[in-house]
Amino acid sequence: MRILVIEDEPLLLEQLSVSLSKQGYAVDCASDGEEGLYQGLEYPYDLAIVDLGLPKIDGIEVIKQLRLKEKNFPILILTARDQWQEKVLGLDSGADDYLTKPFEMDELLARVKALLRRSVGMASAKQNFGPLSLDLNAQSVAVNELEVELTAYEYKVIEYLLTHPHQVISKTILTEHIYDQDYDRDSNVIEVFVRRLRQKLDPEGTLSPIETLRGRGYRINPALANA
Amino acid sequence: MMASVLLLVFFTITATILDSAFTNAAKTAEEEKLQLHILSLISSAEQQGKQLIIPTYQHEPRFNEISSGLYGYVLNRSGQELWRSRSALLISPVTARPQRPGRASFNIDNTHIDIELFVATYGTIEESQGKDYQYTFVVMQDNVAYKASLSSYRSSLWFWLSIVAILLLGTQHILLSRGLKPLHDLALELKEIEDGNSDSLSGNYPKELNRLTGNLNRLVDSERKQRERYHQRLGDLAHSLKTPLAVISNAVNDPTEDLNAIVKTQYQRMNQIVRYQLQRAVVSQQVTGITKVNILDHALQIKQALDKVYKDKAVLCEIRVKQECYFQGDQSDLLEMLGNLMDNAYKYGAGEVKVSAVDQNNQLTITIEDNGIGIEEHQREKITQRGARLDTQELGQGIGMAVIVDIIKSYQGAIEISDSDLLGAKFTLTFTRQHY
Repeated sequence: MRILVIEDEPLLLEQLSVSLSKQGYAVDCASDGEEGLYQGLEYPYDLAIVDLGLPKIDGIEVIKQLRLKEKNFPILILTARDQWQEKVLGLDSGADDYLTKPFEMDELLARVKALLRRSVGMASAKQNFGPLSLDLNAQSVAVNELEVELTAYEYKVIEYLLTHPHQVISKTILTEHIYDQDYDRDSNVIEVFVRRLRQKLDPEGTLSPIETLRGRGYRINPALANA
Repeated sequence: MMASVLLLVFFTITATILDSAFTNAAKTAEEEKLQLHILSLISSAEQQGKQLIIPTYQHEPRFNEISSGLYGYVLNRSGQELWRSRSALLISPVTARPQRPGRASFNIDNTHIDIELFVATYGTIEESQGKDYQYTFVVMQDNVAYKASLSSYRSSLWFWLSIVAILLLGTQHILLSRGLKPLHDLALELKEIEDGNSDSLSGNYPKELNRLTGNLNRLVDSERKQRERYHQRLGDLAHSLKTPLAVISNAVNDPTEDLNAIVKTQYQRMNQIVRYQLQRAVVSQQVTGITKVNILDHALQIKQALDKVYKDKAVLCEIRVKQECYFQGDQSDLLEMLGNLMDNAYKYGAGEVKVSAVDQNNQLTITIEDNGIGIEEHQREKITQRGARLDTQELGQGIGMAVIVDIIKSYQGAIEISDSDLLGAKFTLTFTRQHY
């Protein structure tokens, strides 16, 4: 999952970026409203964290512009003001949740997870796909209740595919959502991840959890997705 | 001042119009008089053969008295003087031109030194032995009397107009200074308040100003309270921050302490303190009762916001507020009360929230109910007290309640916690509308 963080305080931006990256998210940073809006419109994000008091373009305006251009990823507002007037204003402009500064990083991560889960239509953090189960909070995948050991990137790939069942996901989209913008992309890497995932999740070759649609991309096996 | 200038302009215009009307009327009267003299001259004249005979002595004695100021002449068709009255014996020749029969004229002759003359002429025809003889009768009169009457008129006109103007200006001044005296007093009293010698305006004003002084008093009062509140909060803030700071400072100097854990707890404490004091300081920045805030609109706004935040919980929130129901106060205060109480109801309720407001008999009642576990009776009083926190797990609840209590207090309202029909807690806020 790829997250955009727009925050003008460099120390806090750094802290947010480090904490989110540690959780396995691809993080892009912007330190003012203009840059943030540009990135939000240019790249495919799964979530944005927006500070309300931003230089150049105000946070509320950034959110309004993003919503106007039909960017529908969830947005979490950070605000130093604790008043309801501010909260209502922010949520009205199109944000989905708010957090008042100062905040605990754990609280922020919990909100981010909840928003991401909600945005892909999962009612709870855990969801089963036949014998496969995904736990967003623990960031783990299990087959028949047995947790499968995955590298960070393998998890990111299978998480993205499982949270977007019934959709064909191209290698480009996968690359865009699991890497931040500074990463030198090579879509062949995705093929390697998928091959390794198939081996780890289905060593016997009976489940075929990931389908390849030639020239289009990957998809979770509809039999599992519907199970 | 403006009124006085207008009054003076009005009087000047009136005087000018009256003066010009009188001058015209006087001239016309002079003209008519001279025409009458001409007619009396004509009637005394008699054509005998080629000769026009006019008696030397006329009925009008001023024609007979030398240099009396009234002079008569008769000119023939070519303008030659045929006759002049005795009064005109020492006067230079007449300047009037001969007139065609039936024609009259009236002019001013100012060719003479020191004197102006009105000159009236009339052309006539006398008939004798079948022959017509044309004559022009001329009467001149100096305008000494005319000028005298004009000047006497003018002086009395200006005299009386001035008296009326002075009377009017005086009355105006008295009325204005009497009428504006309360405003003058008000300015003085405001200055007293500004200088800190007085707290509020006295009630000794005409009833037309009561509303103004009432509002000013409320403004002054709210400003003072706000100032006191800031002052007090600042003191509170500084004092309450000293304890956690002392704890951290001690820990830094003590190598056996777990600095990380201490900083974390003290940070939470300081954060709580700052948020609470900040919230309390901004409560009710505006004068109470001046603005009208629509309750339904704001409740719906908050419902919309909370529906987003608690999307997972799928809370059923019912808002029973009439469109014309208003809160008399500051918009942010209403948002703060509704926001905190509705947020609590969403948070602690089991998915059902009801918000209602009734404005009856000058009393506004707002209720927020949920279907949560409710609040134990013995805790209710504690929760409506400042800073009380029921659930230490939920950061911020204590602040929210304390802020609500502060706001309600500033509007002289009341808060009550009871059991809801939904089986959870029911918060009832009541406000009495202030008359102003």
